Parts: sequence; C-alpha cells; structure tokens
Amino acid sequence: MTLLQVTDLRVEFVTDMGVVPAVDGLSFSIAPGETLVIVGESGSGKSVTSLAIMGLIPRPPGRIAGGKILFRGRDGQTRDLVQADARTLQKLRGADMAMIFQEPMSALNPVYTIGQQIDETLLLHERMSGRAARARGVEMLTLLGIPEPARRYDAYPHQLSGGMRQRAMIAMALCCRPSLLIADEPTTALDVTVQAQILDLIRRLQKELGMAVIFITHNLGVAAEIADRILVMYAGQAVETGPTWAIFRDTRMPYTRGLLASVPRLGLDREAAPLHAIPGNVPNLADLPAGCAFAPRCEHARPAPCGERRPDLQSCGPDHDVRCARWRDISL
Amino acid sequence: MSAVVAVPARRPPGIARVLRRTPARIGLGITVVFLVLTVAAGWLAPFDPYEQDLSAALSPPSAAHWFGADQYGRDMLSRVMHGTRTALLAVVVADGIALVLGCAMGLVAGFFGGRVDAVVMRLVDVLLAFPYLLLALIIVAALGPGLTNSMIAIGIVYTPQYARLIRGQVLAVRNADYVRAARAIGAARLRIMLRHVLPNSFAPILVMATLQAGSVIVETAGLSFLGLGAQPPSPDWGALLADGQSYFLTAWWIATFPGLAIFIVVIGFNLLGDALRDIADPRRTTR
Repeated sequence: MTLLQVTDLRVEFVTDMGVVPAVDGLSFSIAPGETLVIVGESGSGKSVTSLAIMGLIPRPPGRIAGGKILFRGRDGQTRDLVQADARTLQKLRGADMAMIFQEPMSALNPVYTIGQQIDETLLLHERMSGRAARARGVEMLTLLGIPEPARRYDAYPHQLSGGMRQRAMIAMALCCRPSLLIADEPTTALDVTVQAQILDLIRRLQKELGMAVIFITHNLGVAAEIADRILVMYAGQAVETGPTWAIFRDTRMPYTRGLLASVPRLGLDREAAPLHAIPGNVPNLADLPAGCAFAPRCEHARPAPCGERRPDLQSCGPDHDVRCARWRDISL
Repeated sequence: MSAVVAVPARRPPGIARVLRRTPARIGLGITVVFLVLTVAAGWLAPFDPYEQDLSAALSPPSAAHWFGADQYGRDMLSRVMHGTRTALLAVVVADGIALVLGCAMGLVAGFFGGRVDAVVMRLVDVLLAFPYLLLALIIVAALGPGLTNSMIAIGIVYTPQYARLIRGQVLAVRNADYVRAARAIGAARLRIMLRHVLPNSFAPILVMATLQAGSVIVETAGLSFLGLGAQPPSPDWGALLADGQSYFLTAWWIATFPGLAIFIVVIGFNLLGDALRDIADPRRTTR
C-alpha cells in the first residue's frame, strides 16, 4: 500500500539559457508512516521535487513536463496531482499534505500572530468556531513542547527565537493532521542543539500522527538519524536509492561515497585524514555532459561507457538501485 | 522567558523619538489644529461664514474682523475656518478614491504579473503622461463641475501614483516565503492577495497618503479657483482665492488669508508625512 507514488517525474524551467530540466525522470514511492530522505547538493532538484508534489512550482517559468504523482488522500481516493485542477490541490494542501520550510523567520507572516497563522490553516480546512480553533492551536503548541503555549499563541514571529519559530511553523503544518509532511531542510537554519530537538520532535510526531515524511537535506548526518529510506539526487536524477543501512554500509554510487567522505567527523586527526571534497562543481543543468552526469567529477570514470550515454538505474541489491555503469567493477 | 527575544534591527525608531524632532512636531501640530477646526469651526468662528454685513464690506483686518471682510462684508476668518471642512472632505474623498483604486490596480498588476501587469501598468503610464491639473480639468469637464465631481477627478488623477508604489511593494512581497507557505496550507489566491500580500505592502502607502493629502488640497482648491469645484458662496479655499483675486490690489486680505491657509496645511501634511516615513522606514531616518 503506497501513499505517494511518483513515476518518471520531469520538471522543466524556461530560462535565458534555454529549457532546463530541473528534475529528469524521477521515480519513487513512499508508504504511510515511512520516512524518505532526499539527499543532494544545491541544484540537484530536491526542492523542486517537493514543490512539484505540493503543486507549487512557479508557473511560469517552471512546468511539470511529464510523469505522474499519485497520491492517496484521506478520503481513500487516489489522484494524479499532475493532472489535478487547482481547487483539488488547494483542498489537499494543508489538510492531506503539508510542508515546512527552511527559514522559519521568512516563512511566517510578520503581520500576524503565531496563533492567527495556525488558526488560518484550521479554519481553511475544517468547520470549527474561532474558540475551538484557538483551543486546537494552543494544544498544537503544547504538543510541540513550546513553553507557555497560551502566551506564545498571541506572540508575533519576531518575538520568538529561531527554534520556537520552527516549532510554530511545524504546528501550522501539522494542525490538520496531514498524512504526508514534506520538510524542506527544516533544520538548516537552526543551531545544532536546536536541530537535534526539532529532529526528535518530527520523529515523535510522525509516530503519534502516523504520517509519512519526505525530508529534504544535504546533511547526511541528519539523514542517518531519521531515514527509513534514502534517495540520493544528482543533476535532477536519482543516482542511488535504498534502505538507510544499505546506503551507509553498502554504498554503490561513487557520488554517494564522495558525499559520505566529505562529512566532517570529530576525533579524527586532521593531518592523518584531510577532509575529503568532491572535485569540481554540480554540472550546469542547461548543458549536461553526454554521458553520466557525474563522470567529470568521478575518479572511477572511463571514456567508455561513462562518457557515452547516461546510465540507467539498475538494481544492485534488494531494494537498492544505483545509476552507475561501472558499479560492478568498482565495488569495495 | 528566554524565547522572547526582541529583534532590535526590525524595530522602527519609536514614535516618541521621531516626534522629538521639530519638523515632525510642527507637522503634527498643524494637522491637529486643522482637524480640530474641521470639527469645531461652527463654535470657534466669530461669525456665520455666509452672513453678509454690507457696512463692513471690504474692511481691512481689525479687532472685529481679524482677517478682514470681503466685498459683501462676510468675515474672512470665519470663512477660512469653515474652509477646513471642504479641504478635509477633499482629503478623505479624493485621497481615499486614489488609494483604493490605486491599491486595487497595483495589487492585481503586481500579483498576477505577465500580461495583466503589462495592461494595467500601461494604463497607469497613460494617466501619468498628462499634467495633473489638465487631466483633472478633462475629467471634470466630462462629469460636469461641482465639488463632488472635482474630488472624483482628483482621485482618479492621483490613482497612478498609488498603483505604481503598491505594485513595487507587491512584487517584492509576492515571492516571500510566507506567501509560498500560505499556498502550502491551501489558501486561495484571493485570500493570499488580500490577507498576506496587501498588509505586508501597506506601510509605505500610509506614508504616501499623508504626503498626497497636501497635494490633493492644492489640486481641489485649484479646480475651485477655476470655478469647476466648490461653487460660491461655499467657503472653499480655492473659491475664496478666486473671489479675492479681483480685489487683490485694493483688498489684499481677501485672497491672502485663504492662500496662507492652504500653504500652512500643505506644509503640515508634508512634514507629518516625512515623519511617518521615518517611522516606517528607519533606514532613511536622518539623525
């Protein structure tokens, strides 16, 4: 039983340099209650993927050029969100699927109190009185571990600290008990200690509310912490996907290995093990190399087959796929 | 307690601090006196502004008639005091029309962008291409002279300014994260436009409304002066000026005091507008 099934999703942006494929043939699925972490560098298409699911791709310049996003709503109906009309999407957003953003300061409207913003979500999707909404709002703030929730409810965003704002943002997203939460780097802008608290919180709420989470990050430490499955993206495509243990213990894609090696670790002698960096930069999406998109930065790349054609996603283990033509030759 | 952190960077200079500056105080003082007069002119004025006393006709300023009297012996001080009412009406109606129309146009243009933006803003450009008074004259000529029509005309003339200002604000706000967040919770477009974009674009509009109030008074008086606005015998400042004009060499006070009244009130509104701008935008504050 799947909650969300994305098949061959393609998202394009029209720019001065021509049509850029930000997401190119991405497929994945997620079951109720599962946590999928999408990992990738800036520009790999992970945020665009989340916006596409929410139906929030800015049009123009963007458009969904192909593929399917099948989502099973709480009413039991499965809809293709690519084909769905604006009204249907509007009803699903906030109620069945919710999103939290990277910057809690700018994602909260400065002219309304936290409470007013939580209420807005509730009143948009559920028939309830203002008083009932307030009670639910305060209850949500309590659930998120905000001290003095009744007072914070009437606070403006600028009166709260970063961690509190992110909690308020999460309260806003979760107050209608969505079955899918998309979290786009929700901890990146926070202090490390607060990051851990927020991660814990998301994990706890996920269990309590039984929702599926798509978590977007470039931080593999965070991914190891909460993921059931990991999807590594590069240049708009999935390059490796599998259960968390497989990605960390049985890494197949050279790119994923590079990412893992470039995570700073405590306690290592700096001179003995210099911090590894993947050479080069993320390729220009408007001008991708003919072969494997990662080949120019890959130490294992050979003119053939890497430089000739883009490799397909191939199975390299149970529930473990990799997009590398040479994965058999370069196994550890 | 620890979570309640004031963010000093976003805090505008306190109203109290801005009002410590002399120009702001003068502006506020003039505006307050002006507003008090609109309410209390009936009690404060020494004479009925319409009462004729031919024995006092054209009498110069004196203890009985501080601002002198006009050719029918009407007390100029009373007439100037009552003139505040038409002036305030002009501010509320004309500035109000401009604000509402301008905000609606600018909001739609900025929010939807693309072709809608192009059409609305070209319309605005066309309106801006005319000199204000000429455009107002054309509109009044089409609607027919009278105080109401002249105010409508001025309102339309000032609409483009607001439209431009708010469009710029909306362009900046519509891509803000909280607007995307509002879409993510399932808010409809109209709701996002009115509840999320408009309030965050509005601060400079209030400043502009105050700054425009002065110009609106001048323009309405101008139309009245030309005989297209308020009609005699109503004590509109523009009409008073027009009245006094033919006597200017023999009875200078008839035209001078209404003129001074316009001058002072416009200065007052401008100083107040500057102060409001300083409060709304701390970066432009002059210390």
